[in-house]
Amino acid sequence: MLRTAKESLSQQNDFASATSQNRNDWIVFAVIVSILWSVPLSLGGFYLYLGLAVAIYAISALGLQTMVGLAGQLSLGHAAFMGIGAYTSVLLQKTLGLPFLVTLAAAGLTAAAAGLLMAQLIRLSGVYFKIATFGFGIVVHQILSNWTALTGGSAGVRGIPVISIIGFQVETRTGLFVCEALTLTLIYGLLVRLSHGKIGRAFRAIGQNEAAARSVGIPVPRYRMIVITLGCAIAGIAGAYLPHLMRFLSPESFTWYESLTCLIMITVGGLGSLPGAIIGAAVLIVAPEYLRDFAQYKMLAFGVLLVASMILLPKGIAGAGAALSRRKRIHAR
Amino acid sequence: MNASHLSPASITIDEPKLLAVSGIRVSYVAGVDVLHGVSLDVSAGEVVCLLGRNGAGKTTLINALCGLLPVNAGQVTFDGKSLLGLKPSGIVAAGIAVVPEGRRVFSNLTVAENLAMGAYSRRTGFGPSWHFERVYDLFPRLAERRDQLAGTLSGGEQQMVAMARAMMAQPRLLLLDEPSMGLAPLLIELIFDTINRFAKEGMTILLVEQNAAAALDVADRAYVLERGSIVRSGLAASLESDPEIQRSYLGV
Repeated sequence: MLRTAKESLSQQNDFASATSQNRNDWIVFAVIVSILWSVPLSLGGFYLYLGLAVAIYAISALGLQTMVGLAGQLSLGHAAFMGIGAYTSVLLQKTLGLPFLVTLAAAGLTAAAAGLLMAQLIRLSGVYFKIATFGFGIVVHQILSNWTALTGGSAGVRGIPVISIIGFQVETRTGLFVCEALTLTLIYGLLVRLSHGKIGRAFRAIGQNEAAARSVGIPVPRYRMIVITLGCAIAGIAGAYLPHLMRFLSPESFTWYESLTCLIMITVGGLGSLPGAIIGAAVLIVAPEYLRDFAQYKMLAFGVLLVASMILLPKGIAGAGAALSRRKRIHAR
Repeated sequence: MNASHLSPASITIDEPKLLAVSGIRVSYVAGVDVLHGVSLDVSAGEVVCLLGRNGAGKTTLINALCGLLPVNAGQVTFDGKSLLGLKPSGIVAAGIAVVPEGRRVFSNLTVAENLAMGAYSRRTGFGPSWHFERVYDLFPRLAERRDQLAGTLSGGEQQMVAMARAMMAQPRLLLLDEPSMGLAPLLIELIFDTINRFAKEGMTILLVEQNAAAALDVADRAYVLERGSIVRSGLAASLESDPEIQRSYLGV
């Protein structure tokens, strides 16, 4: 009798920390989602435009965060999968006149297929995988620029069709933002849910120590495939929105430099943190808009930002926020 | 406690072996065998140790048993079923847990999370379990540090995490790869005390060690591996008193 009481107490302790982490993640989710839905829509104008760009890159960064931050599969070709999604969606809309919801799904699926192909082709681990993803990104960019018959080549694609969802034409920026914010909310929520489940734990285990993950019986190769495919699919979905924001589609939106920017986003925001990916995307999209006069120093500024954040905030903005709230709690006691 | 544990000497051919390895050849480079036809067996409830120097092939054998290296020839059966061709995850699911060389804890997860990971491939799935309690009973130190990140623990404590994590899988056979490596003498004693307690609870253990004196103390039987072949085998007590073993492995 005594023993059962003791056991249940200890179980509560062990799972209390897990559930409180779960609750914290959902509180942060609520805060971020409410800022996302309120700020750009209430301020409108330029802020709405910023919100549109932030939402797209936040979706993409969430995909990269899942791959890199959680499961440790560093990809240097993330923008290529956005490109695959963007071209798939626009070309299907233009040539076949398919509705946006269908082409959005197709963008995700095509990028997922490309991601799976990359993961299968590159059965390497560690630094070799990273370098090979860089090469994959360059190959995709070259295909987009040179397969003129399909993609229009480096001249790009003009006349991006209006998004139509179940017969409803999304012509305004507000409408486009609602679509993007819905997608972002949905993907963010699914990833928070996933990160607390069995799959999420397996991702984290692989990210921390592949050998240890193998020794506890996690099928490492299968989960690597899954996480790479998932991350690339999310990039494809993000990419499908990009042409509707720019009203133009060019391979130059998907260069290695854009892939690097995605990596800086998740690093500055906080590696391994889902809200960090969104915060990082916001910082790297909004900051350059206010520093237009120094546009030629953008690359330099990003580099300095990356180095500074690695030294001052090794766990990124999200990690610093979490540490701050922990410190406050300790002082409050 | 079953008969084989009480009298390991009475092991006969028809007694069921939990783990039976017969004539396995393993290589890293095609054509260059590291293990030249190794045979050994472990019966349920036994503690068997495998002694050998650096480069004898001990870790190679463990890795082959875990499915990390392909077996070129020979057979490995666990409870009568072949393990050959199974992936590491399949071998863990079959009931073999390993404490890898060099511990390999998840350093950015808490102790409790590390233990929960150990339960990963349990069929019943992840959930509250009496095993947390049992493991914390065995390792009170881990109970105190359950919310601490495993990477911040000392080497000995990390070894405890690795052993406790393996126990969380509810294995039928525990493979321990050099658990005393790099630990202070006091901690080595603690680790071997723990192995003794596992053994008393009826856990079947295959222990790979360089620390022959300590290993022979906890083991029922022992094998000696030299340059990829088993050169000696027998009761731990009789090997311990063997002059040749004393000279080569016990430093007497």
